[in-house]
Amino acid sequence: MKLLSRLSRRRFVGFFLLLGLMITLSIELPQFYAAQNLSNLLLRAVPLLCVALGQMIVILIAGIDLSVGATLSLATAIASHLMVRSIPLAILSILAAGMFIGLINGLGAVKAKINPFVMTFGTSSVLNGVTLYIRPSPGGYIPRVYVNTILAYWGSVPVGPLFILCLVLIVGFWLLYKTTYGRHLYAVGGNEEAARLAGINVAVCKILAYIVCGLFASLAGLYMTARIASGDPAVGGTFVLDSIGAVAVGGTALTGGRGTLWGTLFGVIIFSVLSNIFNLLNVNIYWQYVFKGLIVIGVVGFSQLKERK
Amino acid sequence: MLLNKWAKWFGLVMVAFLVGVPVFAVSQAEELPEYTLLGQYKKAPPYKIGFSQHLSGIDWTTQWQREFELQAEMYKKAGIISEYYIVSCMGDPSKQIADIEDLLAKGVDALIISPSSPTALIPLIDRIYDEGKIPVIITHAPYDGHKYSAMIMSDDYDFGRKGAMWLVEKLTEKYGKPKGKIIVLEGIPGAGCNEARWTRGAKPIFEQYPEIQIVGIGAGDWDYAKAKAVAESLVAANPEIDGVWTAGGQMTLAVLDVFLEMGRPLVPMVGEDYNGLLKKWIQYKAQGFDTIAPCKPTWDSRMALDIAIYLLRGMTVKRYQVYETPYITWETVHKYVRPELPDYIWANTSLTDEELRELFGLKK
Repeated sequence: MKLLSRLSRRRFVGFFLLLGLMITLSIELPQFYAAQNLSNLLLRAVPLLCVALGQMIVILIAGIDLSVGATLSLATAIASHLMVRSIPLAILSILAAGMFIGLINGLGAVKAKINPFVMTFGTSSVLNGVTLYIRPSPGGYIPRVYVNTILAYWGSVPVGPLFILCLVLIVGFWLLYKTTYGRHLYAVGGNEEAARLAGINVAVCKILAYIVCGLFASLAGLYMTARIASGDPAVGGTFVLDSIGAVAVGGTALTGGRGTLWGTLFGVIIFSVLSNIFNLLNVNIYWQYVFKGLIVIGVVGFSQLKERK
Repeated sequence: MLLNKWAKWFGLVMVAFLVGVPVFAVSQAEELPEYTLLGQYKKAPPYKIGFSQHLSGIDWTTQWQREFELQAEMYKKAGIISEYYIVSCMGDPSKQIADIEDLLAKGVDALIISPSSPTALIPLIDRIYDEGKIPVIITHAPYDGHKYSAMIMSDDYDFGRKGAMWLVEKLTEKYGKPKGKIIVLEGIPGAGCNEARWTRGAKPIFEQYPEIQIVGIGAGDWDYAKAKAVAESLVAANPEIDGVWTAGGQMTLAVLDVFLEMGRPLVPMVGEDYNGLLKKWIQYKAQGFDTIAPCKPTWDSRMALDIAIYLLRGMTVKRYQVYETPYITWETVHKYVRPELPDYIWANTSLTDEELRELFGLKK
């Protein structure tokens, strides 16, 4: 009974949904398990995991970041200009740019007390303009050595993306569960006043969350730069809603204070698997939107219903 | 202590990654043949065809996709195609990469791609081409890669150039030399098609004539309503306008409507084969309105499918088939206009009135 009650907690809803999907697929779509398809899933899950992990950290402190997609696009645009000169310089500049964007978001949302939704929406618009200015059309040059390293294969196994995925998970795990800052995030999101009374610097904790989010979005941009081997002002478009959706499906409370890394990972896998099976099943793009939306509403709604009980 | 331990591990992993970066030789630009080889992609029918398209839900792509479906149905009836799959990325290059990978996982025999970005798909398409198992046909939108089995589309640079040259000619007729004030409406800044038509097509033409001044420029997103709002500001801000260049016909119609509403004298405007514009061209010709209509024919999706079939049957095809933009002039406009059909129809199409009515849910 104890086990059942633990399993029915909201963070496992994503797991059950994924399990259900896998079982259905194994019967209906044998090509789903083909090595090529599993490798495809890994390739597309990596950038979403990076963005969703950053988004989750901001959501843990009851914030939101709508500028992650624009940050990702900007990262590819910067890379398309700088990488030809020096790859390390480009990587450092992009990561610094992501952190700077996070800092601006954090200062606006925390110090100037601008609603995070409005603040990050505004930043997103500014970034879109800046990206179009420096990269008005897709293009630029990305050195082949960079592309081949990030997307390195060993036989048919994409070891480069696999390494990045593991690295992101390790960093996420370390940050959330092995550092004092991780505990502060949950404390601030759970009860800000109590966290303040406990001596936590709430403002710094929140601003840092936006900085980390910007950093992860720029990391996703570095990965996408390799995947598209160019800079593209439109490439980050769908990451905003997909990252929020993956975090929500993964069981993180949008009101802050609760959520797990594994839940977000499941959310990311579900989002990646969904698009994949819709295409394998030849589902029209319009219906794909409908089903995706219904699944997000269904899973989050079901979790909240359980919570109220 | 624990934090230090984790930090050390993290540092070690990072160092290992950076130091262990394998050095790959930068591939040299290859000389690719002008024609595919005889029998290069030959397979026994029936075939499975995958079509990854860049955008659904706008009138042009709706017509263009329908032309593909009708052609595919014809091949299906003849037993040449067993299945065809159409996926749309809605303008998102990262989704298009995933879409193409999914089509490969489904085991298609040929891929037809209209790229949402001229560069984002290059690594993936290069890989498919190098594997050499299936033909990849690029259609509709500019693509900067070189490794493809065939490329078939009308030339968007030519589209931009032709319209601009026509406008320069009209301004020269008026002033005796290339001179005058013009306004410009781009499509979506950053989109490949816009870059080809405006940035690389029309803009360099206007830049050759220092006495042609671009007094206003805006983005209409290939949307009538958005273009009209932008045109209202541009026209109101400029009491003197001698000509208009836009990246699409629905935007030209929007500018024309603004001129008519504001009671401004009509000037030459570069258009496209948008049915509403062609209808108004005929209506306002006597009042001095003139345009030219470069076309991006909706039937080029049929040609892309035909080429895929030729390749699978083992035939040799010319790899680069970017054809000159066809255009409608005053002499030919009556052949193309569909007076009984709505404004949003694209006139250079092989769809019949009946098929168009069915496609857009119009009652007779």
